[in-house]
Amino acid sequence: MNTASFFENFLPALFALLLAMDLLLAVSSRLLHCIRLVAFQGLIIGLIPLAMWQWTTPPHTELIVIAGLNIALKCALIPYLLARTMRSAHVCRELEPLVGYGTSLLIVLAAAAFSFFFCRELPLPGENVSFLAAPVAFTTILTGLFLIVSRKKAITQAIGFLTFENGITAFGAGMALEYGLVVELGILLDVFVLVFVMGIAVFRISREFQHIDSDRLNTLGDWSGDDENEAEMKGEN
Amino acid sequence: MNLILITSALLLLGGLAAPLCRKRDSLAAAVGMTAGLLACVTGLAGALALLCGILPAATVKAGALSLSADALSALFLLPIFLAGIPAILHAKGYLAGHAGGRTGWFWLFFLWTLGAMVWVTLARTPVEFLVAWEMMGMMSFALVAFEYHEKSTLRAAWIYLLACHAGAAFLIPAFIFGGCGIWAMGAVIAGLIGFGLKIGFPLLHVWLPEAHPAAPAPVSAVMSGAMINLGFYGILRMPYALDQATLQTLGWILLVLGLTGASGGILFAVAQRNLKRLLAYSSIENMGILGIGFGLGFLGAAYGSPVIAVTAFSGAFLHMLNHAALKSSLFLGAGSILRSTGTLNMDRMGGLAKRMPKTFLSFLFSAISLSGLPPFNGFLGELLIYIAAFLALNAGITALTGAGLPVLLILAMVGGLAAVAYVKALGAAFLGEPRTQAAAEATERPFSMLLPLLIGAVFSFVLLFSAPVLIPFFADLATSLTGQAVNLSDSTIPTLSSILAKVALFSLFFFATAGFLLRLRQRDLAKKPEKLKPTWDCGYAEPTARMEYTGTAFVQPVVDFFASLLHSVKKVRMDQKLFPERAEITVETEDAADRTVWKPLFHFFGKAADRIHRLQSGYLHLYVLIMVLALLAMLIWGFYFEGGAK
Repeated sequence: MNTASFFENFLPALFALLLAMDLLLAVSSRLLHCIRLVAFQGLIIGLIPLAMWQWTTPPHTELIVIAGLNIALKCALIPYLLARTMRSAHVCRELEPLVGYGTSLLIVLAAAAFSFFFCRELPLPGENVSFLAAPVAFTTILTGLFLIVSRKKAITQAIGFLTFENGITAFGAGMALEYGLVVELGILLDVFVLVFVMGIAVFRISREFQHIDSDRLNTLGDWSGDDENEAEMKGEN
Repeated sequence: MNLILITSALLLLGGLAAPLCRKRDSLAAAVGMTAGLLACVTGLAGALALLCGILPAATVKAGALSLSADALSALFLLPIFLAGIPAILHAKGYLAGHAGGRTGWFWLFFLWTLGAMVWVTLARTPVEFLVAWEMMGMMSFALVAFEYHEKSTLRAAWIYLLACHAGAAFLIPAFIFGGCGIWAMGAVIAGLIGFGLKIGFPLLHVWLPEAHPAAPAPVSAVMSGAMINLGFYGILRMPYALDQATLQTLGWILLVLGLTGASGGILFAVAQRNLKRLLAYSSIENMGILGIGFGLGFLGAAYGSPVIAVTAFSGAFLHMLNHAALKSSLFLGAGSILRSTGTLNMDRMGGLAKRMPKTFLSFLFSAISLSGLPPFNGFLGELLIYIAAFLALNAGITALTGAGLPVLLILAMVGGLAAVAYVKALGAAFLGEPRTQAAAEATERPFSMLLPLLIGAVFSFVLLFSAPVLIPFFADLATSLTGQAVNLSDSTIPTLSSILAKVALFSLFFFATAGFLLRLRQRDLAKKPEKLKPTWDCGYAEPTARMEYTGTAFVQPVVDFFASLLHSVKKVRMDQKLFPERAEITVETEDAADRTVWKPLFHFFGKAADRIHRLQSGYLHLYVLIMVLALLAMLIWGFYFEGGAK
């Protein structure tokens, strides 16, 4: 088996793994598990540009730097930060998601089906672009958004955001779009700062309110919502 | 043209200079008044010269600005100065001690309102016109909201702002689509609505009875005397085609709006308790009369009768000038009363004729005149419109007969009701005994607040006697506006002029006789010792103010007669004891358009908005979900309906 064909098979495998991670994210309730899944997604995202690369030409420094940074940040640093925040906030489970785990799985599957159906229409930009790239990336984006919408804990929402972000990066990498080093670094910095801020916020929230359920933060808004909601909240507490 | 440019520059600079005086109210007032007066007198001269053709129409281009003045601009500039000069003089006294260090700002907004109005008549490009129009609205909004400490004022200012913006919302499409093929008629309709909001056409008039009572009196005077006219200026400047169909449509629309506006306006004026509200409704009525005049004129032109067109247009123009002079005097008089008694509620005044005789005289004169009674100037414009209606009736064309008949009937009814409304205002405010302590302690205003009333009266007299001279210029304007030239052999214009001259002569005779009789009476009375007795002393043993007719009581038969239209709400409170000690009655008349159209409409939108407000629950999840759904919907729409993929 020569190198080229190995990588040709390697790329669809990576995308398939990415899709599997999405499905797993939808059903895992343990936060640590979620973090590990996102970290693994980060690793895959980092590997995709390398797998896409035609290794017949000499290696490109910029490409390797970006891949390395992606992996270091999304696979190591951010998951580490998230895990530390999780421990400091004393939560380890998403106990009561707004959408149950079974339903979540169905919704993510539906999102995947929609993505595959939808992306048939998309023209592929190059020859060595996998047909899986667009639908899987799209599924990942939708999964991330779904996590943000359907989970209560702020950390799960951060994870959702990371998944969303991974989807976008996967789309760019899978479509062989090159933004250049500065743009990539900018995006990475963005994500890092967001997670950093989220971590601080989660820590503060947990210290102030003894919980990190973002859905209860609506009492802080300038418009306090319906009276029903407030009554409901009192009932909960 | 140069004179008018000097006017604009003076208004602009005077407005800028006034707030620089900071807290020195009297200095700011002096600066503002001087600049404003100089500007208005210069402008008056310039506008008159332009109208009479002494100065030619001219255009000045300065960078992006393109200003030009012709006879039509001049005609609509006149009311600005006719109402502006007395208002500027009155403002100083009106504001003294009530501005709280904001006099400078008042003058800034006041002079800039006048300046924006001048600019509106000079602007020729759509953008420039819209900027001027909006500036006029914004500056006058600041003035309406000037006494913002009161909640009702804020509400009125808010309604006024809404009306201004709604007007602009209709005017912008009117300008964009104006004169482009199939949209031309739509643009004319949009323009009618946009300008109609300023004029106060029925349904669109809601802001007038709110904003006029809330604004300081000089501002009401300028807004009512000059600003609302500019709506008609806009309509006349619209690029409507001069073919029969367009003229017909325009004519019928203006006629129907005018008829409803005039009759509805005066009916509601009768039912009001607040003096300035009454005057505001009377403005709606007078704008309705202008609408009748213009509508009849357009119809005359459409059916090939230039005589009717010229007569009706001349009547409308003349009535506009008369209304500007008279209504500003009335509003200023109401302002003087407010300063003397501290109230605008006519049922809380009374007996002011003895306490403010000069203000009373001015108010009496303006009120009679504005009711359209001879021998005063308010009669002339209506007379011409009557003549036009009679001409239409006898024109032998069914459509014109159909237009002339309701005009005659409704104008007659409106004149009668206007007389009722003003008799009510005069009687309740000035006659009898004072009903409250404040009214009893009222004193005549200082000379600075009487002078503007005198000047207003002088303007009225000048208009009365100069009307015959003005007719040929009005006729020229009407010709250019309708595209229907009067045959030179036709004696219409000389006839109209001679009719007006006869009226003027009769007026002169009347005034001479009246003056002579008064003099005679004075001489006669001087010999006998004068005995002063309480009012109504002859009929009652112990008359008190509570026995006399209030304004509300006076108009009760009229209000009851039109109850189905007015829907007045009577609140009666009576003791149920054998000997009632306290009894109260209040009659409130809410605006019909407000009650039947706008309130339900805004209520509906409020409900809808509340329902949407539910989405703002504070749940982050919901917000993100909405965004995701919107994005997905856009994506699907883009791909499948717009063919974005291929």
